[in-house]
Amino acid sequence: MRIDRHLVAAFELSDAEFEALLCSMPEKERGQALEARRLKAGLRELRETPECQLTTEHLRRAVLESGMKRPAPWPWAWGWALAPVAMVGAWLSLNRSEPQLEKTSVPMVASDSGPSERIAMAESDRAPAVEATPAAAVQPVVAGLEGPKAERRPGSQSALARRTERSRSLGAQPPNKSLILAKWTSHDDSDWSAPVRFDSPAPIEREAGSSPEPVVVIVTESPDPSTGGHQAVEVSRQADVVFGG
Amino acid sequence: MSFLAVSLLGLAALDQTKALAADPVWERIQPNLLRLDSGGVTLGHAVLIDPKGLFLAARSSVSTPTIVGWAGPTRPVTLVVVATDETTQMLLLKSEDWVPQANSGTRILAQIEPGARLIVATPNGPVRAEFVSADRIGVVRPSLRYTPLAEIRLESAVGPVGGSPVFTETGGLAGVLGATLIGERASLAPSAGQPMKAAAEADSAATALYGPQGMTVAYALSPAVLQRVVLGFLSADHKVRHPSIGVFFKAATEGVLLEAVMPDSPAARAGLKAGEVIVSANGQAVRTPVEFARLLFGSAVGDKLQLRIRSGKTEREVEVIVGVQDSDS
Repeated sequence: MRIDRHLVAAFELSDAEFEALLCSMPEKERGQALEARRLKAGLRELRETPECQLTTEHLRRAVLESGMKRPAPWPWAWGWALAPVAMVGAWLSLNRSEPQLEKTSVPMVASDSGPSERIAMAESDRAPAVEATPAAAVQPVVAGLEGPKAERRPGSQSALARRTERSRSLGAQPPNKSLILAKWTSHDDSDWSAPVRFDSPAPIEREAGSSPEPVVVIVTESPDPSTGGHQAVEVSRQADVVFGG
Repeated sequence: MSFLAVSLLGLAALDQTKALAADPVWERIQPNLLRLDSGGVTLGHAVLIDPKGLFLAARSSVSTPTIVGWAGPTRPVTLVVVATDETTQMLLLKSEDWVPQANSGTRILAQIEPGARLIVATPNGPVRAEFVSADRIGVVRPSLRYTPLAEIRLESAVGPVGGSPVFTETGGLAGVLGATLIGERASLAPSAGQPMKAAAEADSAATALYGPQGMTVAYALSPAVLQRVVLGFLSADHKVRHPSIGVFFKAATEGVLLEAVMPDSPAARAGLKAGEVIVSANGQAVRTPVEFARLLFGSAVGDKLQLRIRSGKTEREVEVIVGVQDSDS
């Protein structure tokens, strides 16, 4: 029962509340409560489960299965010993792939606007060079630059992304054309000549569930004071979500 | 300048509400609604689902077990919470002093086409919206149950919308708004790191500068779930029966991994254990947790599921009889 109490305290209380509770605890219990708090931090770092899905149940199971012991430092020591080998390997592989990258990559412009800006520059300023490059060679470079955005397909596009695009389609003046270009080209990376469509409706009709990994909407228990409803969070990786049924 | 823009937007929203208040559809809907107030603040609306005085409301709109609803500005109606559906956070309210009126009662729609125009009964008055989709994959806490959600989009920031009933232009009930999407775009791609955040900040700054302002993405139970809830509430014992076998699961390399099996659940009785993998169900390969969740959601209480289970290197067939989720009261 005491462990349960520590778990609830470690999981549910804010930092300030937890500190206050710690002060009122006997020394022995304080140690256990701190261990429970560390476990919570550890669970969060694992990133296996979205933050909003972390529950006391997960924590309780973690405690029951692995006990409240700190992990032995040995595995990390071995990890550090392997680090120089990994660095040499990484350096070798970078050296080998450098010429290919130079051949297929597009000019970069230092920018604070993130990767979208870079791809947009490639699209608008260097179109002939891109056309001359085989699509198969360009694709991985683009994917690598744009990260998750480049993987987006119409069916898996989040409501949040649609909301932004829809806002623009309703007549917003884009502050930076290149940002918009990047957004639309990400729908179909192979079609580099596709025109920018500002007046396209939000892709509601194109969404009919053919996506391999659609967005999951998690409705949390937290109320949203500005709307009076609960907060909903989108999770793009279905694999991370725990379902009940 | 920004003050002028905000004022104009406010006036536009006010105009929309005024225009809708005189709309014949809204006039037809209004007699079936009770305004729910608490401490002088409107928290939401209750919708008449049975002319004898049974109302449906979102839990977020009801602050106490007994609440006063208002039919029009001057007619108070006392409501008592009769049943709660924990999974969907919906309540059944009953009024002992409700006087049935001619042509009262709300039609619950089974299907709504994407793009349909809607009217949302917000605490501040009626607001227009658009139906986007009926099959968003939803997971509702605390039960973590898969629940198909309807996505509804409101073209402006309308303030409080939680617990607001949503109607089509034919006057049928399309849903009750339960949640709104929060704007944490960076959370969509936690591995993308700072550049993605910078892009998101640039996007939101652009929207703030150039408008239009504050589109709201809200979620309601999909029409299929809403029908199940209403039918359950209208049954003799007012209980909603969501099918369940008592498991928590997530994606595995092949099939779905059982994270936990609830004690005394149908799954536990069939011998399922945490750590095992469901490879197929009713002869069909289970590839994603959503596939299995949809299968569970679509089954009826008492149905038999033939599951192929992998435990280590061995596989076996088990039969699980679908039960009722027991967290509802």
